[in-house]
Amino acid sequence: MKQRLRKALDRCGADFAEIRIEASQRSRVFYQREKLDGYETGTEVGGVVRCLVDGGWGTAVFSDLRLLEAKLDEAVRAAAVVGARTSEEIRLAPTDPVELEHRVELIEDIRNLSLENKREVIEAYNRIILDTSDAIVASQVLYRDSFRTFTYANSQGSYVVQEVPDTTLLLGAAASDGSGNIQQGFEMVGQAAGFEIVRGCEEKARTGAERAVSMVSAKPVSPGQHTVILDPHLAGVFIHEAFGHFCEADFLFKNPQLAKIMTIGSEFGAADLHVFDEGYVPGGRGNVPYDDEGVQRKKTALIEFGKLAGLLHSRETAARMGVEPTGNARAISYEHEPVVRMTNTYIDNGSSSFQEMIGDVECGVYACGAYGGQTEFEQFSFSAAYAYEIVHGEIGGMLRDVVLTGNLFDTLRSIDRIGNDLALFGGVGGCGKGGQSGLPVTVGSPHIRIQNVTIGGK
Amino acid sequence: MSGIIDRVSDKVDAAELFQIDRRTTPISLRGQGIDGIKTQQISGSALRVIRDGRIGFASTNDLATPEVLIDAVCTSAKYGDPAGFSFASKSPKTAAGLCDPRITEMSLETLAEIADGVHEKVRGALPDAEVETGVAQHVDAISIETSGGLSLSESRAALNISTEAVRAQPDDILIIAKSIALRQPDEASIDALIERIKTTYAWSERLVAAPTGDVPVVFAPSAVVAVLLPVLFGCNGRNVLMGMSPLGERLGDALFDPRFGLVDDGLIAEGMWSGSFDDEGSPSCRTDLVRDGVLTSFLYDRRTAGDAGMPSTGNGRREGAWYQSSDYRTPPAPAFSNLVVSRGDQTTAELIGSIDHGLLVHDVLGLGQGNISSGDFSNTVGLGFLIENGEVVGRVKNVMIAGNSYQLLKDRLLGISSETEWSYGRLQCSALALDGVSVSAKR
Repeated sequence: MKQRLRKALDRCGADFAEIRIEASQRSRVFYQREKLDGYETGTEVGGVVRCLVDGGWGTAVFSDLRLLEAKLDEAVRAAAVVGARTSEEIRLAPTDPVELEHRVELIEDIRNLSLENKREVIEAYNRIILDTSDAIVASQVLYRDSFRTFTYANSQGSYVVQEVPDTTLLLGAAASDGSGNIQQGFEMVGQAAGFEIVRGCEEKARTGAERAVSMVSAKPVSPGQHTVILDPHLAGVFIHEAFGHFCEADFLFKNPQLAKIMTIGSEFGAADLHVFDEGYVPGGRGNVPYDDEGVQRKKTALIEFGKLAGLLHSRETAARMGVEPTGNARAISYEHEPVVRMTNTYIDNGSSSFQEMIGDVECGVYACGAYGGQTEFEQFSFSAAYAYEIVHGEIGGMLRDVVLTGNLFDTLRSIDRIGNDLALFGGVGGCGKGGQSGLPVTVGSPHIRIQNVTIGGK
Repeated sequence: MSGIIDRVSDKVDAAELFQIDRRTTPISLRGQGIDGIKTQQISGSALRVIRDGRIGFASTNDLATPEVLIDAVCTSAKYGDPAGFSFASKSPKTAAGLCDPRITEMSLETLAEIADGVHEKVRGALPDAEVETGVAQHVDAISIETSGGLSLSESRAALNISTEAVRAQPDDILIIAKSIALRQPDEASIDALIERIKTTYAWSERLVAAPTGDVPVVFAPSAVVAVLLPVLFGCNGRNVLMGMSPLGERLGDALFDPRFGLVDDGLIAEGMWSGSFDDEGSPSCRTDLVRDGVLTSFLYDRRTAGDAGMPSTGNGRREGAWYQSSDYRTPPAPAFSNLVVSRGDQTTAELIGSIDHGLLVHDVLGLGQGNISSGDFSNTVGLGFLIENGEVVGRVKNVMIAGNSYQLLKDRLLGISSETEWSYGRLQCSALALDGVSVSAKR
């Protein structure tokens, strides 16, 4: 393989060229009620080549590896068309060529466990959910794993082989009172790890099911402005969705007006607000020892003492902005070129205890877990999995339908308490950007309190 | 017959092989020139079998060693769910207009020219915005074979054009994003796209305070999906079978305003999800989900239909997410093909003109948020406008809309526009005006 890639790169004639080959295997077990809805495995290979000619990018994607050399020629031709028409020549920040293999060892290797062994564990969780209460009308228990091996080579001499495991489990339940009011509850786990993280989740299955049942009698939240405490998971989704994407330099250099807003040193929040993107945390789904351009991981401070401290870069954006690449060029698969993405992103610990945070809230909302989120520049929208009302400084009854919206900059400034209980979450889904969705990432935060958050509802 | 069906046939009761070969060429532009060109050539195969009455499924894109796929599918069938259905065996009628040679044979230079034309027109119309434009040529070749002797293949081609204009000011970021998907080159549609962007931009200039409380809302065709998603969830045969749909026992009931109709159309030429057959070889159909306000049908693939004791409606789709087309890695499940909302008899201008104080919504964020299984939607307004005395007077920000689709489409339908527009290449919608939508906004 190594010789073939080297030879192909040597003869392609581009100013810069890179090849990424992926081989993966995956499995999926999915229960819906008593039904084994999905029970399957898959294997996949493919490659992507990317070339620079006269400062223009040409990319070719293929699933038949025999086509490698032909596709490299095709990418060179495409790059030449771009290079001839582009208004701004692309350059790449220099990096030292690396040659290494990053293999992983899993406690319980997902590749060695039979599909049937996995199914037995998942079925037991499904049974727990269905048996929790008569009010449970449906279950959704979805297990997925993948094990990918990437081989990266570029014309500057880098050659990196990396293994990336990803294992996730969603334990979902739906409950109803029989009147058409159907509510959901769920728990999930997700890590760059083996099957061991899926074991021992009986309690989580029960918690998810019980939550669905209690959500049936929860009150719908009243729409309007609220003081909101976000739990670590939802706060993590918030910082990833609403702020993290703003720090991706590929999106900024395309828009000079935006880049101006994101000037290093600009004040975004209170002095105790610190936000990081870190390429490695133990078990983090967003772990990238080396990114998809062969650049080593970093820990990048995005906000320090409330001020913008850094941005996330690929080699291209780093060269444009005259900084070092940060190891954030990531692609979801061989079907895509790398773009600037987050890895493991979190708000760092502050000093407030949960009690200090909630104690002086006369009336508010404690929003927990993440159901979904979307951001469009300064506007964000995300929904809590479940919530509670806060009355006279204490947690009150359960609330449902909590969907929050706001303006990123206003909201960051409105964070008035940061907790001291940082926790990280891998979840089961992933991050989406520019047609590449489902990228494994980790998000995290301590509890945070935000004033005047708009919540929708009827 | 492919070698794979032959090789697996003696090990199983029945087999089905789905194969896709996808060629895509996207070109992206920003600033004054081309940003990048990409070519994609990806293929994949999915094998589904019934063995001792149980379902097995496996997929690969590496057929160098077909025995790996065959072993995997047999392993899956060992404990797979019991099969209450059979694979397709009848050849469907051929749908026309899915693969225009003017698209399949379009050269890189022609694509670049089209892209450049759109890009420059949008830049010219919105001089103070940063514009990104994408044009992509898609050609999918799909084939399905079964051990029962069915052998189908079809090519489907499309041209996608998208453009996003962003104007970032220190205290306000305006985004106008529009796209179209075409089955044939069509200047008029491209011009209409640019006109829509211009109108939207003109309306966006002035920022105004949003209305709040229960107000009338006009959903532009691009935003109607927010209201339709809960209904689509309810009409999905799988959700009905699983007890998740509130519509399960309601077939034949007048659940909607008599002016409201909804059709799933797998044959309509302009629809990007059209084909002679679905992703498991069933003939594509035109299925009324709601006719004159009455719930008339649910959507089924073969497997769910078998479990429910219903016929397939030709809605067996292999898709990861609802806005993505066929993915061989995913087994078939019921999903809508293209949706057509019944037309009304008022123009969009008349709908807006009839409202004293309300909201016009062009785009929403967070689709699928809210408890859609109960019919609820709850979304942030991505791009929305205040209507005062029948006129669009300015853009609103930091606004959320929420409501229950079933209630609103039954009792609060103000009107449906006569003009229609495609969005996501999959929904042919009119504008819908609904009264009593809950709107909350930052004071």
